[in-house]
Amino acid sequence: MEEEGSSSMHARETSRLWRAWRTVHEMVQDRGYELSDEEVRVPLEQFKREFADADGSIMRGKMQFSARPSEAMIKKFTPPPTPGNPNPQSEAGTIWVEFCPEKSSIGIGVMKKFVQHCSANNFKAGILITAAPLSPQARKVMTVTQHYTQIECFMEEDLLVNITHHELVPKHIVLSREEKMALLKRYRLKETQLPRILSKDPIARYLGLKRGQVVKIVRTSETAGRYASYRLCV
Amino acid sequence: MSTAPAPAPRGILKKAAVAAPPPAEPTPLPREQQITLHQAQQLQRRLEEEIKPPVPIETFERLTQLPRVRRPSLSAARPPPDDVREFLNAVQDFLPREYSDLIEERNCMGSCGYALCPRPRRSYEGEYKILKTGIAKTADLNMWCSDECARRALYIKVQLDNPSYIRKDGQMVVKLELREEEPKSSPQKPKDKVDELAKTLEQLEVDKKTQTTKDAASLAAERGDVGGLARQVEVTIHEKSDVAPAKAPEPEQEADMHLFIEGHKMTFGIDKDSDEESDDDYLPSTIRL
Repeated sequence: MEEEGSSSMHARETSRLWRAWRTVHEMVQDRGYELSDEEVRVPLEQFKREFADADGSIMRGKMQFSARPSEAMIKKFTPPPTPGNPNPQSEAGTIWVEFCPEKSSIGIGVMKKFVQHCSANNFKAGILITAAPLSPQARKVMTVTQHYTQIECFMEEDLLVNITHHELVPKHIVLSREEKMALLKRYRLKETQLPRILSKDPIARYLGLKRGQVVKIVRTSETAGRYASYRLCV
Repeated sequence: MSTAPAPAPRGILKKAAVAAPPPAEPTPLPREQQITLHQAQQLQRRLEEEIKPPVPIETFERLTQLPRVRRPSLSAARPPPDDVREFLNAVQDFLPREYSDLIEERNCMGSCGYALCPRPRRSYEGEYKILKTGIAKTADLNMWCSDECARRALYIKVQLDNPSYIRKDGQMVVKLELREEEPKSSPQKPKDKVDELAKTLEQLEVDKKTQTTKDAASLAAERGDVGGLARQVEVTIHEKSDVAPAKAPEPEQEADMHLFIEGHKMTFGIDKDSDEESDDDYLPSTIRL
């Protein structure tokens, strides 16, 4: 009886982790990193084979991967050359994704280890997926290191479903700097005159929007067919 | 400049009007500058005074690793003095919120929320826990290793919430001190304990008698009876001698009894003239002739 209970619990957790695993892959792919479809659409059986322990529990410590940015993404996130900096480096770099094995809430120690791992291996961005919420100080560590490594944290339960697949969520496209400048010029706007989107908005978090980036939102419209609006991330 | 040499054309305006404005010019600029400077200084002062820089993460890391020395002779009740000094010095600069963060941070490491306690925190399961004193949330209980540690840690928190300041090296710092340890009852022999119990019971009996008088006295004091019980007024209650059965009120018998409505006699429309006149005859009497 007890064994049955524990096995069903394991199955539940396995399916939860599998869903989070898939969503985070889709997220990384949607952001423009190179991931093949086989990597993204992992069947549950294969997932179990890869990460399950002998007793059926999933080893979170093994759930980690990195991804390189695609050509298009590198181009998109390269700032325009200036006289001072004729060959600008792209802001996009390799991303590191890791599931945190810690079950209780995440403290400074865990966070620091993750940040150090990211910076030691020259990852430009890091995503930590945790089962428990971060402590306030760990959150602070995350924001302090924002300058050299872009660290993001998600909770497993936030990744159970891919929100962009919901029918009420319109398509969001991040604009590059040139596109943003063109938009502002086209409509003779200042940045602040655009509608806004919070950086903690679920979609903004999904796309990894930073302050100042503009996202194009394409909705279907009954009268116009397609309706595009733009929002500035704040 | 205006009073230039000869080639300048002569103005047609009165000279007095032109001459008046110039002296006003030099004064406004310094004044504006002064105001701006004053405002900037005030802002700077406010920044220094009000917005305290956040406690660096290193301090949190250090405090989560306390106590440094872990020996069986040392405990939360008898912490090593070095640690006490370090803890109090660091926590002086904390905001209450930051102290809560420290407790949470220590809990993340699995240790007791009280920074000077070497023991791990409790790990009850479920949402609530039944205790001798009542029901408590396990989340609250799991922050500490014991109730004593909770008391010690919250003693510090109270001092941060309602700070009292002392002057130290010319600066005002929050006065902090550890909770005084309750003297632990030394292990006694059972016989002594029984004796002690008997004594307390005796004491209780004596207390009971005095208690009523004490209560009465405190009640009197509360009511403002200065003289205490001696100033009481004697009150005797007499019953009324003639007591007839109660009667319902009856209306007085009168001739026009039938005209009364609820005890009130109508006067409108029943005088003798009204019989001759029709209802719509509202003209004044002078014309009625």
